[in-house]
Amino acid sequence: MNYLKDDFLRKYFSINEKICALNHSTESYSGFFNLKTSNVKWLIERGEYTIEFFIKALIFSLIQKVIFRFLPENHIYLYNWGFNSYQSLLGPKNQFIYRHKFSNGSDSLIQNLSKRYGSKHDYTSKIEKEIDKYVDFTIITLIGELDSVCITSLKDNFSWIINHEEFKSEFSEDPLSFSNKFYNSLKSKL
Amino acid sequence: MLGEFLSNTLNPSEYKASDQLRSLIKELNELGESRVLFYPSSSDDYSDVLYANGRMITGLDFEFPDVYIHTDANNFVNIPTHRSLYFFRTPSFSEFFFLKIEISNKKCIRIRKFKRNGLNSEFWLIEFSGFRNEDIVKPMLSSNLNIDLLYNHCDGIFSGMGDATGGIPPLFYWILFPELGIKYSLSEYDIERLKSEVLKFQEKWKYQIKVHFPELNTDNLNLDQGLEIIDYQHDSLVRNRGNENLKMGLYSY
Repeated sequence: MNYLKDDFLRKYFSINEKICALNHSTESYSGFFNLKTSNVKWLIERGEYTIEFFIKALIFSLIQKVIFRFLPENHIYLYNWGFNSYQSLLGPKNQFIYRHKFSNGSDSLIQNLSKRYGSKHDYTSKIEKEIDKYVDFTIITLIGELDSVCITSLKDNFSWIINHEEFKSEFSEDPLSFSNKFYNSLKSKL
Repeated sequence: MLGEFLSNTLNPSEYKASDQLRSLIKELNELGESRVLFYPSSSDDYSDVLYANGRMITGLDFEFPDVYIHTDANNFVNIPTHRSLYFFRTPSFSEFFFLKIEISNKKCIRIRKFKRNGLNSEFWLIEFSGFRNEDIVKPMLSSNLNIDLLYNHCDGIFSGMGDATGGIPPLFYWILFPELGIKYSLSEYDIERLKSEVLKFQEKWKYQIKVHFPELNTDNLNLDQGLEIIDYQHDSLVRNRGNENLKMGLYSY
């Protein structure tokens, strides 16, 4: 797991507790597809997280959902150095990522961040300029990193998954949205 | 044999076979050599469909079972929260055969055939809902059905959490019924637990076995010899929620 850096996985697995604390809630947080813009902004401003991390985390959640829905016989455990233990990729968040769409998380988050805080940072153009980087992250994570620990090949199956109606419904039909551009770029590269 | 097993579970005086059932029994009999997994007291759990396979568990001599047989004393099928309502409704599975045989308002048999889309392979799932485990072991024995893998996750009889009382712990099956040819067992109980239950055999289990299988000669059972030929490997590597403690046993006949 060279590309999925330890730091990314540690932050990815621990974000739940952070968000619960911010919201003064003990309830399990509903995953990355339903992030509050104010929480994201606060965490970015504190310097603990970057917008790049949040976009990659949304993509990683999407990959989780793909495995859970399309190839569930793969049960992936990734080592989390922060907790010093293996953590399941298909853990208790299953039920939450099932409900929400990738477009809910990514498009709404980017639009809201730009709308509320766009005077300082133009998140929309920053993220859209880097779509290729996020597509590469997706492909390397799926094929380069996770495929080797899967019992059903993600690489061999992604061609039918990417054309499946359920997978397509994760992305907005609006051609100007990030998720739509991301989907089209991903499809062209696979 | 699988078709014969299915027809042996149906009482001909109570159930009139339809053309669809006759054709199914014929198809199952023609399956030839197939790997059979038996999950007694399965409740509405389908973790075996995902994780009880040779790709996940090192040591099994086959990849995926061809047939999964589930039994449970409770009939969960008509409960709206039944897990199979969403478990199999994912793009990973395509169902292309379905037959439900209503035996009574408390008992039914569901036979389904699925394709695993990611693996391009097929399997049968035969569920006996509202049947005691012993009611299914009997037709297995009479139809010479062999069980490759006994999936014994959360044994309700050993742990005392089952709704049906008076049953036989499935871990005893391979000592009591060598005819089933059970090769592997996956259970959270290890050989030490099995040995401790064997010590209580006379006072705790013998009577119950007699009730269900009166023809079985429990007086001459060589339990020590039965235990000697079980090789327990202590890590089955089935790492999914709730299954971390499963251990694999291998029975050498």
